[in-house]
Amino acid sequence: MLTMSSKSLDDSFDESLFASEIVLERKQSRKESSSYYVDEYIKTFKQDNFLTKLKRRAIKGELRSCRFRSIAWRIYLDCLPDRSEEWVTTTRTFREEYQAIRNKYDTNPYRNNNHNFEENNPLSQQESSVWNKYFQDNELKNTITQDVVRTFPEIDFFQSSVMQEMMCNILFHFARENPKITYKQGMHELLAPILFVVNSDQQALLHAKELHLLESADESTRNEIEELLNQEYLEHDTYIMFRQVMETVEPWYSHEMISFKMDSINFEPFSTSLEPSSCSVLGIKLRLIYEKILKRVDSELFFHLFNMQIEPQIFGIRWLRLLFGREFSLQDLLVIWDAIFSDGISFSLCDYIFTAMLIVIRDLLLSSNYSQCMNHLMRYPSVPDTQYILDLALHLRDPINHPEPHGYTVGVHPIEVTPSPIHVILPDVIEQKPVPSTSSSSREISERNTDSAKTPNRPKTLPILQVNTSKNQVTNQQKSSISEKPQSGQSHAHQLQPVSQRQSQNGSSSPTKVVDHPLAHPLSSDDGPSSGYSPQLTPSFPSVLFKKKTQEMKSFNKPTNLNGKELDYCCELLTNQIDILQKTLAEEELKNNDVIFLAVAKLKIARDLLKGTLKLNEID
Amino acid sequence: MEDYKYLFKIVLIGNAGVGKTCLVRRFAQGVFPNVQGATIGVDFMIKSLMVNDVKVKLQIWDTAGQERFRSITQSYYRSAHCLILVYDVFSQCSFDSLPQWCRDIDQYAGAAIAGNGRNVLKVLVGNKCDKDREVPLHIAEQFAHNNNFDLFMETSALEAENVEKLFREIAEILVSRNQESNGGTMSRSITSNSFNQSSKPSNCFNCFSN
Repeated sequence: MLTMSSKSLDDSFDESLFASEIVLERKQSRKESSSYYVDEYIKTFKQDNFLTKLKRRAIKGELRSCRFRSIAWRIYLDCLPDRSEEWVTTTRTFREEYQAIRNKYDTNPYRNNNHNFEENNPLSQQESSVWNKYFQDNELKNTITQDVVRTFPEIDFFQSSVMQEMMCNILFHFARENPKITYKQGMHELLAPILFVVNSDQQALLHAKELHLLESADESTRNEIEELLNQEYLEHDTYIMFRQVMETVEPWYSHEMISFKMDSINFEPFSTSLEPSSCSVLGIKLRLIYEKILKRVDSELFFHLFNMQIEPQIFGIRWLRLLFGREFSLQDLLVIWDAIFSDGISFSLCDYIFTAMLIVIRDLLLSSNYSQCMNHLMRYPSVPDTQYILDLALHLRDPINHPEPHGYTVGVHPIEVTPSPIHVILPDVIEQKPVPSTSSSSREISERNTDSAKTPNRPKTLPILQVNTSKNQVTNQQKSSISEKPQSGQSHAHQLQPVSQRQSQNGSSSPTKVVDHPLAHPLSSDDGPSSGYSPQLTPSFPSVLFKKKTQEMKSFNKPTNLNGKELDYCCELLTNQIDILQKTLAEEELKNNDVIFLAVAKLKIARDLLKGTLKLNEID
Repeated sequence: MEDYKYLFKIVLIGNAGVGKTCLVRRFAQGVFPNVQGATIGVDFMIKSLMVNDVKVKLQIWDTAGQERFRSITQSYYRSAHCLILVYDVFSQCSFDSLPQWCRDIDQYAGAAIAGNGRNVLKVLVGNKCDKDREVPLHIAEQFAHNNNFDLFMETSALEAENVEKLFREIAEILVSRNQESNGGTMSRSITSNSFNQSSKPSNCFNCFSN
């Protein structure tokens, strides 16, 4: 900045005026920061209960300009213990550990004094040969370098040869230390932001030292800051943090296929295939995000993508492997990572960020065809408010403690977050005049019902990992997340009375009607009807199956001559029997599952028609 | 309804860094990025062109070099009309990997494609031919011939050499194949907006792997 301003002084009067403004600004900010640098450190890390505050700041996006973000990350990632007294010793231990790793793999055959020339010659293929190792290492280094030199091409920082070399070193050492996973494309883009953050904090310290800002601190605090942000150990500290991130993310990079039977997880009752399939850990994770989160919170969007056969793996592999690194600008990405890291070492927030990102562009997606959708997902549109995505993600996971964020608009595409409708109350207007699909109608619905939807009367989203546990599909990462939040999910679901049930108890006299969409109903054992899930029905529900059903249903269009008592009895009987059927079926592995589930879904329509919570014209 | 007559799915494979993404971007967007970030998972691009007054839409799936077939979802290649295997003429190593890629194609794509009752168009491309070469042209030609490639071409994404031509020829072959198989009458069976519709119903969401 200084060089910039001195340059412009030579150029012209106007620019020199501008430059002097910059200098003035710098002086002012210097004055301000002088009192803040040490204060910021103390306020951030030295107060009682600082950890809770630090986590809260992360999810609120308040670390955006923090000059100690790398220390915060180290705490989140368990690279530093909670007790700050131990930080310096822990840091030193880690640095020594990395130094030892570096020494271990520093093989230079030219410096080798081994006189066994069977081994010590460049053509030796022996495992123990230094030369053989040397050439293998070079191959690995070439692979890594090929990716490192094209990391964040638009950011100068990553084009510097010093930084590139450092990244290569870290990735190389990680690969050698973890021979099972070695180096995989994408790791370099997880490493890069960490290096950037650690370096930024170190530079901030240097700057503070130049301005004598540390003098106001007591000696131990000063030593602590200087040790934690010691420039000498950029590579060491970054390695340790990167290793921690990889610890969680590693399964997402695994190519190992896990074989499992689709219907045993009960992904999709109307699946077209019941063949056993194999999936990578990441593949399963992505499928669960679709089936267990997206489908619940926005079934319209889910079926839109489902019908177009846009599987989450297509775009989701990159989204998750890079922790959304290509979907946001670097500064916004760091804010997203603040939240992911602070939320817990399992990074389980990713699942909800993933869903929130889809919901934020739902209107865009709903009004797009296959290619357009693919384009939006592969080249995620720039979203002006990253915080909104975080807030929405937190809300999706825990609507009771995190209120729904207020909607906003992106560019020409109105972004309206359907109030994550587990239920949608259809106003009479819609009944009379079925509007052709598109987002406008759903927007209308949600606008009318934002109040009712905002109240947290829907069950907490079932964490996708719980489903996994019950089916023995748990990875380490998932295990930790389960232990972390044992209270979430089902417990809330039980506390809350399903809206649809409440409505039916009140009878059908209310002017608005809750529609329980039978086809969208997940018929798995994990979320039977008791979970209160009744997703929104839009007038133009995309399922072809559904239309067929409507036609079949029309033949039953006769006025009923049952009285209220008999009706109630029939409904109750049907509900109970459907429940039993569903639960039993979910446990069985039947050959014709689809057919049976379809039949159950039809029974549900019949029940809802009897109840009066569904009308024939609504099915269309 | 979109206004194209045919939609063909093309999948690019080959070692990391041979220039698959640059090739696609040169063709689809007319640009050559100075530095192109590594592809993670898969990328997707669409480009339409006219072949004999017929509009053809090419759906191009650009895969990550390191992924190889095992983690590419089956449905990518199951319904692919064309596989382009790319190597770097400047890198002997990328050429030496070709046999392994061919085995992968046979193992993973072969059966699936045979099951669909049609042959996938196999194309070999030597990219970066603007550079000094390590792989002689005749060696590559021989390799293409021996391994039953339908088409072989050397390209330069940097200098836009043969890039347009490559995709145009692929489109032409696919169009003529499709016309033949339909006895001269063009059908839309292959041109559905959703690429899986022409294949068997089980070939969708649930058998999707990675």
